[in-house]
Amino acid sequence: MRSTSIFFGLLSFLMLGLFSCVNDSTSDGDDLVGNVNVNFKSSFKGQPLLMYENAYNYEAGMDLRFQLFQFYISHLTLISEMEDTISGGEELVDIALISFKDITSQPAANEGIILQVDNIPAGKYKGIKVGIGVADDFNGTQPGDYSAGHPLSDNYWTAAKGYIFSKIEGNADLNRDGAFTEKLTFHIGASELYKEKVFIEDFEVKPGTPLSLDFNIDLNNILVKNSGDFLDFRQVTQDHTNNLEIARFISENLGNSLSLE
Amino acid sequence: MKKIIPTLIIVLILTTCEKTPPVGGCEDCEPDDRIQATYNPQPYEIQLPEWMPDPVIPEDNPMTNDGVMLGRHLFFDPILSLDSTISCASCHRPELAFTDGNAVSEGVFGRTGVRSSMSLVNLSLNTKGFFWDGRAESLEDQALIPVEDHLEMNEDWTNVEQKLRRHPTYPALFRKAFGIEKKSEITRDLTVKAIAQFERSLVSANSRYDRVIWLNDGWPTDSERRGQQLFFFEELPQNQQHPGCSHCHFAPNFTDNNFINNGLDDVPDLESFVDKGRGEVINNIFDNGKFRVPTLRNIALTAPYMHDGRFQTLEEVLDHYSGGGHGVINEDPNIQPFFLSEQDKKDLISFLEMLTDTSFIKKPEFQSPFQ
Repeated sequence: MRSTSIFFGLLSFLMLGLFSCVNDSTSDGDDLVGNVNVNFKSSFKGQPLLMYENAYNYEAGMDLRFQLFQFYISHLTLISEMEDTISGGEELVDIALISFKDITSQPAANEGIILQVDNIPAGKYKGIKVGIGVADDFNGTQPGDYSAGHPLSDNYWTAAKGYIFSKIEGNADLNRDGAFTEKLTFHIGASELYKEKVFIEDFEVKPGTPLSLDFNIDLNNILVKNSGDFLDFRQVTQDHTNNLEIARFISENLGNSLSLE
Repeated sequence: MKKIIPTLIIVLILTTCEKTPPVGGCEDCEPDDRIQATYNPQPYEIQLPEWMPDPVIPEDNPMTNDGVMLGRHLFFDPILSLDSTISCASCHRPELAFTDGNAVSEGVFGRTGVRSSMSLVNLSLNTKGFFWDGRAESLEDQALIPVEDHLEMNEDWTNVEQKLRRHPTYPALFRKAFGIEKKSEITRDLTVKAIAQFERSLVSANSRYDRVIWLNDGWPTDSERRGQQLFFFEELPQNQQHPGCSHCHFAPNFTDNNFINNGLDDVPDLESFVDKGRGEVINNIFDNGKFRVPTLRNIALTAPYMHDGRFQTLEEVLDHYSGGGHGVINEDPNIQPFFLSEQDKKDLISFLEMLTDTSFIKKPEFQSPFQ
């Protein structure tokens, strides 16, 4: 009889413990976390952007090939449903370099650039904001402030004392004669060119089910404005932010070209 | 007597078992051949100044004073080569910023390699692989390869392990570095770890450029200043032709360690590169003809230049770049033609000479311990 009492006593204790755990989980999700996969893909007029491999029709009878397209993002943040403003939230990524340099094949383009972020508090979010470029709190630093291999240990202008926010490099065939002879290098970066973009959309981070955030950026829309203005590579083939008109053109379009799928 | 026989049999079996070398051990070593030395590891701090990124050290190979010391011995010792004629230092001489002055390196029996010896400097800042083509992910992986390359040391790692285990002094150095107890525990893995530790200690950050620019110790000459402006082109007016050196060789380490086609070869298609470089490693045709961007620190000491040592002087290098390449499809777009006057060339070379760090090449800790 005594042993039976002890058995049921232990069983009750265990059950209590188990239900306590379940109750904790369901009534209060503070300690629950989930994963977020942030994916970036690039395109040109809706077609996957492949470095080297593909030639793309451009404006005014020109064709383009690309070798490099990259840009920094800063403070990628989920905006909590509880937030009244968009100033707070759950930061997913403080700084990252999104580089399509190695996207030279269709499978690589299909995969895109993936940033996997773990342990984000579960719950509902009402939007996401992303800084395009290097935010001021980072742009005042220099490579010596980071470990080798950190995104900000690279792409630094020593004389200008700032980071190169974005790079577009490639070749232009000015006459569609098959000769991509014009070399294009556009390197853009300055604190005043930093942009922040907000996407208002409902998301939910759930434990065990990664939330996918799929961004796309169309390179054609960076080179060609909605108004029809475009970078004329017969006139200009390079800029290192020493012509602010071109730098603004590219950085404004860069922000506008980023979409959340 | 009945008890003695089984006891003898058991002793015999145990003794036989004891003589079986451990996996990866040596055949001729006695397993109880313990190494007499004290293991008291003291962390080695890489001396990088504040303007340099923090070094990246693999978790499984933390640096210690004794690890670096062992690596230094191994680096300068020809014991790693088949005929004991070639050491790492044969191709990486301190006085030449750890290059060898040859277009391509020479191995055992006078055999010549296919690429130029790379300078060994600030290697803990490189996270993009080693060799001109990046085929070794880590310095440890890198150090494994020359020993068995028949154009370099042409030795067998098993033989190297045996030589080190039988050596009068190395077992004690290995114990001090890694805490092993028996000679049979000396392995190729520990050997390359020690070499990598020594190589990571090779820091160069005390050039005239570092002192003038970062420490405000002195002033650049007019020529150095003009060269600096040409090198770091950001302040030049738009559309002014410029060498664009710092696109790839940006400070503070004067490299981004990326792989590019810098316009050396005029080939009709990407399959026609004699040396395919990075493309051979990652099996991507668009990377054919690409090679690592080397650091320009101590560049005045590391002639001849390029992966195949084709240019004897910095003037030749500048002439090449001012030509703007050949328009091969994967040629880096930053390779663009520009005009350089004779004065521009002198100024650029004056600036490049600012990157020479004589304290680096003369540092006693970086010299052969056998002198």
